[in-house]
Amino acid sequence: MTPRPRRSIGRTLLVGLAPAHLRSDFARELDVAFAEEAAHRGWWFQRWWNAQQAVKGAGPMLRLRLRARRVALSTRRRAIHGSTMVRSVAQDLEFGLRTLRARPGFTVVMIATLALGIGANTAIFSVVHSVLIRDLPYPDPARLVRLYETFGGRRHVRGVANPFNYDVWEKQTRSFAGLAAMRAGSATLTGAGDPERVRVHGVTASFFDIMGRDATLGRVLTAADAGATRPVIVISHALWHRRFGADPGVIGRTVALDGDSVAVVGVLGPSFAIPENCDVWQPYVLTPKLRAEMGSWFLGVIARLKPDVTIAQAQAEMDAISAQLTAQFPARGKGRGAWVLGLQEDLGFRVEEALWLLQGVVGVVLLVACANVANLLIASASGRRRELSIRASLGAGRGRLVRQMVTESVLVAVIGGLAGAVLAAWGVSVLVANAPEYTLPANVAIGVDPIVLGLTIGVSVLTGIVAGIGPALLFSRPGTADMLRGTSTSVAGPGTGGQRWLRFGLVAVEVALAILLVAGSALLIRSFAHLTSQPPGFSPERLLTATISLPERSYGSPAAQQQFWSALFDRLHALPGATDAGASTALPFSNWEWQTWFEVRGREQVKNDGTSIRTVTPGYFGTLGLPLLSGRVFSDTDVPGAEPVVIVNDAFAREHLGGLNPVSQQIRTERPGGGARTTQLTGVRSELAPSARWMTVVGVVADTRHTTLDAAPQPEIYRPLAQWATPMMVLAIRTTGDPEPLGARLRQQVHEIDPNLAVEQVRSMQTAIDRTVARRRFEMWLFSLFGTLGGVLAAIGIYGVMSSVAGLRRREMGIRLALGANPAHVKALVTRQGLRPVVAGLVIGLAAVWWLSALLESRLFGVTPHDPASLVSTVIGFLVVAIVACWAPARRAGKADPVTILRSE
Amino acid sequence: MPFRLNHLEFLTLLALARLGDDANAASVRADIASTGGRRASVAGVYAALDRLVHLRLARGWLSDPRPEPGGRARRHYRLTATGHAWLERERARTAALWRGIPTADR
Repeated sequence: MTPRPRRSIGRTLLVGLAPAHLRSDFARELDVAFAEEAAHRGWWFQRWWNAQQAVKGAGPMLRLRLRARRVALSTRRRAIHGSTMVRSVAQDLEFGLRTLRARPGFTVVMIATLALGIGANTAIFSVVHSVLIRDLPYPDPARLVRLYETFGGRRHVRGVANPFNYDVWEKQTRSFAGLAAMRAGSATLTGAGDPERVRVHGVTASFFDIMGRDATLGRVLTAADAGATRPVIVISHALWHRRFGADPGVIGRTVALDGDSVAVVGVLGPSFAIPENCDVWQPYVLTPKLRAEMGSWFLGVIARLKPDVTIAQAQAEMDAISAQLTAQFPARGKGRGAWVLGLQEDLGFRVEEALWLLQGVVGVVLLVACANVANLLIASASGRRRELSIRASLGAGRGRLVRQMVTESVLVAVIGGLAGAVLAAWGVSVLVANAPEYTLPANVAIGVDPIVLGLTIGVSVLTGIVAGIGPALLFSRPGTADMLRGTSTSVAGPGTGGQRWLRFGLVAVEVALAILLVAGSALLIRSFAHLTSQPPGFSPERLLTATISLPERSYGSPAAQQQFWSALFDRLHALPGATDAGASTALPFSNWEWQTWFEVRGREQVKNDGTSIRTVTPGYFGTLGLPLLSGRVFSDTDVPGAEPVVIVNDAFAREHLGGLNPVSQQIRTERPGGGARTTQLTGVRSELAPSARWMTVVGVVADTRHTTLDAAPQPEIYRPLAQWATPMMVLAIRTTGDPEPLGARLRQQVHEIDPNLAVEQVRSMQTAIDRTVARRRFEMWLFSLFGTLGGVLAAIGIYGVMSSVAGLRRREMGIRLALGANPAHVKALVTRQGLRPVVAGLVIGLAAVWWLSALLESRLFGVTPHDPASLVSTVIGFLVVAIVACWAPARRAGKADPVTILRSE
Repeated sequence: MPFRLNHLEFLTLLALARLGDDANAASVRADIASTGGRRASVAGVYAALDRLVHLRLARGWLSDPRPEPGGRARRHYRLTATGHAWLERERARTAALWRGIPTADR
């Protein structure tokens, strides 16, 4: 035990100087030192030791004590300040809630305005986030890329690759951990309910390794499956549900694809969507012979970058390989190259621009909503000037008043934001449900997720601050408070000066923003109206269309094909409810296209880029109502042994037979001694011709639009079915009434001939045409919806400000009227002054439209971005709304009784 | 936060660096006496240690009570990572100041 030191003044002084919480600790240290150094020495030494410690230690101990006190004080101050802050914010919130409850109408309007603005933003951002930002559901998705071939040096058409190029890429590139090829196709699925045409993709062995995902049921395809004696397939989650009722026993089950037996070995997860909308994945082998193919393009390519390689580095490598290929094979042509595109960017490719544009549009809507709420807050603050002045006179500082008012606006914004999130969740589901096919990427879960929700709350708080800070600063100004403390002595009332400027400024901004929205919507509506008024070139009314593909296994020979078509058309001509029937290998708006090489006799030297070609039945032109311009249509005499004949359209006659009488000219579509190659949009089929026959043009028909209503008619050659057997045709049946119900009977007729045939895409021609404009229609609706929302919010804003400002100037009007002013002049004055910010806003808005409408250029058809009709109608519309909004308050001002007003003031 | 240490505080920091994990006021004071040649007061060392803890250059904690009748807990000290880093910087700074100055021949 440490010996106790003698009591001494020095020790007492020193221990007393130590801060209370360290005192006993320090005393102990002192005692330990005393025991070691002085306890065993004499009385004098002990006294001297204590004195020396006191003299040398007093200074440091005093400093220690002061420091401890300083720390304690600042800690206490922080604690007190913190709790005061929390208390006062809680007070602000409570008071804010009370204030809002006291004016339910005003509160509801503000919350609704913000809910619409924030809800629209949340909804669109949910889509942007799901489609363009959120990671794809594959491991390390940033390393997944698509490789496309480019032509003419352009990087906006995503071209499929040819097998030779794929082979070169696979062998020569060092940037990729792996490459896989995909070949698109379709087949009739039988053996699981009614026959159905399904989308089939052949994928090379490395495909599933590159994607890095396993099957949810069974297994994925492996390299061993490629040469297996028993063909296997993997099916999509959607097909599993649709055709197999989500039966887990589907693994190992045998079905037939175009008559070939295949075993199902796996089911993929619901989010697996590469390639998009694929139903069936089957093994695909690129044989050495196929790998040498340079003349046809049909391979989709997907790859995984090596971990440390960027897309730019991979692109540089692909560019070098392309340049080397061009040098090696000059016939390849210039401008041919490869394009490395991130998978996420690739999937969002179709919608990226539209989505960001929409995000901009709803952002503008939110700004209009903000301006509206700011105006409402100013109106509310004007009504609360007495309360504010009382608070100021009781000692509330400016900061406190500002905080109180901003708290209220943030409170409103957060409630509005929460309501907006609910609105957005509903809006997103409506938007996704109504989006036309191929607009949004398939199998991407689109919804409001926690990240979006967090952002919404952040945006709400920001909105509250943005909308509330202006009015709060204005009404908390000491000068204003002083002025407001007593009765206003200003003739023009309290709404003069900064307040009126702020309100008018807000109206001008609101009008400018709304003009931008409304003018953009007007342009899109005009463009859409112009597009849908384009004549397709034939009569699409009461026309039923359907596609039938004959499997090669049962219809391999031309005779079998001809026999089927002949049997089918015999039945269709006798079908009750049908007046006419025809078919083409590429019916307009059917999404089919065939192209061919050709030359005109006597003009063999004239180069051309090929032309569209269709095989049609004799009744095709009559069924479509396609006018014959000269010559004749096909007849029953155009049979295999007879003279080969074709019909061309007007565009072909103009472009390739100019200066000649088209009828009786001769054309051939096969090179002498070689096969003609007809190219389908989604793949390639070769038709080997017996010889290079010259075919005589026997007629010219009118042009039709083929792919979309905005695409100009292209040159086309028609040849008769009797002379050109085909395994695929798109039927067109003219009906007496609504065409769609006839679909069931059509299916029945086909199945009576062959129960294993699928009848696909059974729909009316009008539906087919509508599908081609569906995306534009959808865009137009969305833009118009948000444009209208912005316009309505702005109109409410103008009305609110005008009536409130006129109300605040009642005293001035009363004096004017009492001094003998003409009521009509008073009305005109109020209207004129009210219109001033509107006109300013119109001018700013039009300038912005002029500058920004170029963003819409790619979405417009037949109207320019500066279309005068759209802009003028927008301006007139706004002026009418503004005049109406100003007129009602002006009328009240003109009708006012001066005596009553002056007495009340 | 910029700060400066006085001579005793600096010696205390050096002592902590030398003594390692198990320093206390008495051992620090003894170390200063043996290496710095200075007999510092108990209060001076105690105040220096307290300031080093305040500046987060050192960390202090109470040990278990000593196993003897009336034995009490004792405060121990250790250098923090910040303290080590500060010392290293100081060493480098001082070395830089001496660069180019030859040792005087006697």
